Amino acid sequence: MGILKWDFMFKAIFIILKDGFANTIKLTLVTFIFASLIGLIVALIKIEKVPVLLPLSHLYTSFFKGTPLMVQILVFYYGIPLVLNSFNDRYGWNINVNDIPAMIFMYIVFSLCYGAYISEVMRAAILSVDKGQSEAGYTIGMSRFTTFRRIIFPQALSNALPNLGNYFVDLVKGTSLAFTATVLEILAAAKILGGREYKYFESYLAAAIIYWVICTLFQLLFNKVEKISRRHERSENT
Amino acid sequence: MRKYVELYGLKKSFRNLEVLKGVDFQVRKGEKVVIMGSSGSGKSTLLRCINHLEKADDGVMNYNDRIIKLSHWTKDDVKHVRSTSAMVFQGYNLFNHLNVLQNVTEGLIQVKKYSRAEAADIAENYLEKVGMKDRLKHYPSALSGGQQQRVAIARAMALNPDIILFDEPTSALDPEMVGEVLGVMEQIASEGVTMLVVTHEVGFARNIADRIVFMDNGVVCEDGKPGDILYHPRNNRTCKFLNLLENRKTS
Repeated sequence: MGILKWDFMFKAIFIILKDGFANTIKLTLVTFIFASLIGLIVALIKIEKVPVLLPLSHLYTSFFKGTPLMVQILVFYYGIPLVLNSFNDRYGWNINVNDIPAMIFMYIVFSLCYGAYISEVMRAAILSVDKGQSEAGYTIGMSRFTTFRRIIFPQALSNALPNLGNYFVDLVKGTSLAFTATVLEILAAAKILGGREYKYFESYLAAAIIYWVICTLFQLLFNKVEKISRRHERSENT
Repeated sequence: MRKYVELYGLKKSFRNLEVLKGVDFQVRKGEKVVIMGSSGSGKSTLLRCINHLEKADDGVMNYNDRIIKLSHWTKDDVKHVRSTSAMVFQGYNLFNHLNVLQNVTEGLIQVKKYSRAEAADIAENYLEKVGMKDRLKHYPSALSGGQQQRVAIARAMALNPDIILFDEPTSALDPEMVGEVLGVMEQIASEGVTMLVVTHEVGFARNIADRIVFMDNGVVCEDGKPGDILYHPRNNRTCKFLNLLENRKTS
C-alpha cells in the first residue's frame, strides 16, 4: 500500500533491535553511570570551592556545554588516535590505536559531555537542601562526610530525579550520534538496513518507533522512582 | 558545682556587623540557664559559637576541661564538643527523608555505633517520654510543629549529651503548641542534663532556670537568679525588654 511497506517496517523493527539495541543500551547505561559520578564530583568541587580543581571544573563544564556533542565525538574519535600515536613515537609506547574499539571512545566522550550537564543538576540539587539539615547532622555528632552521605545526598538525589530523568532520555536519543564513529547502534542499524533493501523510509521510521518506546519506558521508570523517593513528602496523617 | 562551659572574650562579626563584642559567660554542670534579650542581641550566635556552627573571631572556651581557642578549632575540638552536646533548633530541623523513629536512631547508629535494635529501643524510650511513641513511622511533613519539636528534643536527649543547647525552641510554634513543648522541656530539666536555653518565655525562665542571662547589643548586661532579674532588674535595658514582653502578653 502506498508509500509505506508496513510488513517490511515491522520486520525492520526486529532486525534493527537485533543489530543495534545492545550498543544503544550499553552506551546509555555506561555513560549515565560515569556521567553521574563525574557530575557529583564536579558539583562537590564547585560547592566546596576546592582550590586548583575549581577553575579546571569551570573550564571543563564550559567546554562540554559550549560545544555540540557531534563536534566532541569527531574531535575525540579523530583526535585521540593522533595523540596516542605521537605518544607512541615520543615515549616508545606500543599502543595500537586500531585495537581500541570505537565504543571506548564513545564511553569517554559521552560521559564527559553528559557529566558536564549532570554536574549542574547535582549542584542545584545539593544546594536546594536546607542548611538546617546539615546543621542538625553536625550537632548530633556526625562528620561532614557522614552528614553528606546520610542526610544531604539522599534528599538531593530525590530533588535531582526529574532532571536526571530528562537527561537520561536525552542521552538515549543522543547515542544515535555514535553512528558517526562507526558504532553499530539503532540508527546505524537502520541506515544499513535501509541501504541494503532500498527502503530508507521504513527503516528510519522503525528506528523512530524504537527510540520512542525506549524513551517512554524509561520516563515511566523515572517517574515511578521519583514517586517512591518522595514518599516522605506525602502526608500520612491518620 | 563544677563549671562545664566557660567562655571568655567571645567576639563574632558578620561582615561589618559586630554581633558579639566580648562575651564572658559560664555554665555549671547540671545548671539550667536561660538567655534572654531582644532580637539581634546575639543570643543565638552565642549558642552557635559554642558548638562550632559559627566560628567565632576571638575568644577562649573551656569546655569540660578542654581549652579551645574559638578562632582556631581543631578537628578534635569540634568532635569533643559535638559528641557531648546536642542542639534543638527554632525550625526543628528534623531529617525530612527519615521517619520519626529513624530521626532519633540516626545519630545512635551512625555516631554512637549502636546496633539497629539497641538504637530503636533507646529511641522508643525517649519518644515515649516526649509523647510521640504512637507516631514512629510518620514523616516530619505529617507532623505539627509542636510534634516535630518534641521529636527533635527526643533526638537530642537520646544521644545522652551533657548539655543541650536550645535555640528559641518555641518561637516558630503556634501559640497553642508552645505549652506542649515547654512541658517536655520542664520534664527533661528535672533529669539533670545541663540546659542552655535561648527563649522569650518568661514563665519557663521563672519556673525552670537556675540563672537568667540577659544579653543586649552583643554583651551580657545582667546575669543572676530569675527572681532578681525578672522582678528587680538593675539594668535599664533589661527593664525595657521585660516591660515589652509584659505588654505583648496583655495586649
